[in-house]
Amino acid sequence: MPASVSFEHVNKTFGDVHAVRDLTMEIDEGEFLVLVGPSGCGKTTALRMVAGLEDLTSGSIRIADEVVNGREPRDRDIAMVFQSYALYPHMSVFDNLAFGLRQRKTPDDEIQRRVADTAAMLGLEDLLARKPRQLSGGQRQRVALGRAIVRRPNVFLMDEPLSNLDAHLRLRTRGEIVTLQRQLQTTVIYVTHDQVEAMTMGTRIAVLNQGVLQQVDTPQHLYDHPANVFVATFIGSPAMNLFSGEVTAAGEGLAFSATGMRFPLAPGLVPVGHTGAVILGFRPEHLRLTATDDPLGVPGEVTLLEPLGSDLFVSVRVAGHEGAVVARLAPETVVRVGERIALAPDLSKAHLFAADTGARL
Amino acid sequence: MNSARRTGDRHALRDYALFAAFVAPNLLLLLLFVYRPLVQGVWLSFFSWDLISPDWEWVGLDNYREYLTDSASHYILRNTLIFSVGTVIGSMSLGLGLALLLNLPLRGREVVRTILFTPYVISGAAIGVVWLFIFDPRLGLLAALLAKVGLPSPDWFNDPNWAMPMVIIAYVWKNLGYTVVVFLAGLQSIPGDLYEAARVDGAGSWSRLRHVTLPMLSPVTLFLLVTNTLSSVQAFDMIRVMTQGGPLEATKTMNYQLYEEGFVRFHVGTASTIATLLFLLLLATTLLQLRTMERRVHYS
Ligand SMILES: Nc1ncnc2c1ncn2[C@@H]1O[C@H](COP(=O)(O)OP(=O)(O)OP(=O)(O)O)[C@@H](O)[C@H]1O
Ligand SMILES: [Mg+2]
Repeated sequence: MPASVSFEHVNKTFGDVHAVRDLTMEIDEGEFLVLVGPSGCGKTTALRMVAGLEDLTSGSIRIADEVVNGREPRDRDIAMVFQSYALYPHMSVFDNLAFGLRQRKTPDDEIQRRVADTAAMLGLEDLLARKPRQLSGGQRQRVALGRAIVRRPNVFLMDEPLSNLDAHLRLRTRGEIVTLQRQLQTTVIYVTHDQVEAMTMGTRIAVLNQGVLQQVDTPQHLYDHPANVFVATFIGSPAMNLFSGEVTAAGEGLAFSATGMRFPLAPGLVPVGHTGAVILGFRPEHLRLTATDDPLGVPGEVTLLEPLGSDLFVSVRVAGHEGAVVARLAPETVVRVGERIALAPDLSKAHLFAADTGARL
Repeated sequence: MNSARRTGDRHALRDYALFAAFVAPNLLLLLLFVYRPLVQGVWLSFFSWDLISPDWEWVGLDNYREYLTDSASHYILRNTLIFSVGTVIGSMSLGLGLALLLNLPLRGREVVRTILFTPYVISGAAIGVVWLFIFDPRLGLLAALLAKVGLPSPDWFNDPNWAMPMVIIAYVWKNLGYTVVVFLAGLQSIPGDLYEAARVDGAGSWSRLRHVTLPMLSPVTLFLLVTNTLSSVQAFDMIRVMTQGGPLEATKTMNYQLYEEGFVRFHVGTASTIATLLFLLLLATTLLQLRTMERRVHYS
């Protein structure tokens, strides 16, 4: 039975470090929730509190509607995949998988059956007699996954389980974990700092920064409606282009103006009466090449071309603007480094944030 | 192909010369001061000699025959076994227990660690003298403590049944620090996430000790078993100071007997015989320990 997990005003401090701040979040039964954020933002800490490996400073955590504060990990019906895998080096693969079942006094024939099932599911049948040191990184990762699966827990906790794999294997295993989760219908809390993993794996994504929850939402909604500047730049690669400027009245409607730019703003994008400092954002795919004398174009000089085959990322230096503006263009576009071009944003896809708080307007 | 092999050979030759240059001085010293006396000792065991006279009398295997058929030497061999097994089991079990305690995040453990290790670096003779006072049946600390709970103190020095436990206790106390420190180093090298994984897997503290700690400590345990056995069989200074092998030879071990035969009674041939037998005994014990334990030891 998959279980729900909820955080209620959870705080965790280590001395002066406030690792998790007032975290409140619901994770539904059978959901694949990805916890994402930059290094040190408190992802691992949050996960370990669910596992019972770390005490809460305040607040409470519920699993299947029961408060589990202070409960030992083994009484929570969770399984965890560690970043380091933490396989028992002196035990064979079989014993690694069976250890948790033996601790729970599972009958021997059932252990045999469950280990065999799990091994078959993960393609570990031929490795059962080996010791962890005789396995490759990918095989170890599978054993770590198997050790969690074999117990049929209500909640899976995974802390960057793919970070020790090479790019190719990571891609493959990513898909396998998702398929496995759909098959087993278990609740998963998955920690990563890789936003591509977050986007592709999660049914919902929770973005953390400096211990504070920024937004929880489906990948698409998070991408289309980031709650603040942090989420807007953290999710999506290359990151969203941001321009600092002012909202001013322009005849009937409003307009955005910054050095060398002036765009009319679609009605409804800005709350009525809001004028002053704002940040305007466009995703790379919402910029297109335009004539250099286009009044709605942002002129600049090409500094870098990154052809990916399917797309061409063009970095442009814009006067009065820090950092490069990146546009995703069709691969057959002909531009050269050093050339002066202009990029026109799709104004209907503009994101607007308050300059002081960074919150979406 | 051919020339490649020749350059390979030349490389190997140069490596070998370098190796020899570094190792030869040490090897020479070892040969001179360890292996030469060893061979000489074995050689001497075939003679009867009193350490002074110029005549060495060849007696062949007589020394061995005499030693191995003498019932006194059987008693001494038994003492040696009891002393070694007692001290090894004592130091290893107490050492592991203390190391487990000191590995907990308790306050003041650095101080305890230092206190425990200090006896190991103090001379055995000095410690023997201290224990003489502690064990004194009339004035000693132990007698006073036993009196508090209404028990009479055993006559440690004159009762053949109590003398051996006494030297074992004193010896274990002196050498415990070594075992504790080595076990502690072993404990600290066990990755913490193994314990977390075991907790998530449902293992309680006893199960974690049995299935994580002990197997992960197995190389250290084997090492301690061998080194502790070797050093306890060679114990001398504390026995010399505390009991001189008495009462009624109850604490006389082979090593102590060796000293008496060689340097008190000047039976050099007999002393060399004992030394040779002791060497063979230790060699056999160590090999046995390595052979039987090695299979169960996990080296990561
Ligand atoms: N045991 C601890 N003692 C003291 N500080 C800690 C401890 N564990 C974590 N921290 C601090 O808490 C903060 C959050 O750490 P956490 O490990 O949760 O980050 P993370 O998001 O998992 O980072 P990463 O992506 O690098 O793994 C960090 O500032 C870290 O230094
Ligand atoms: Mg982490």
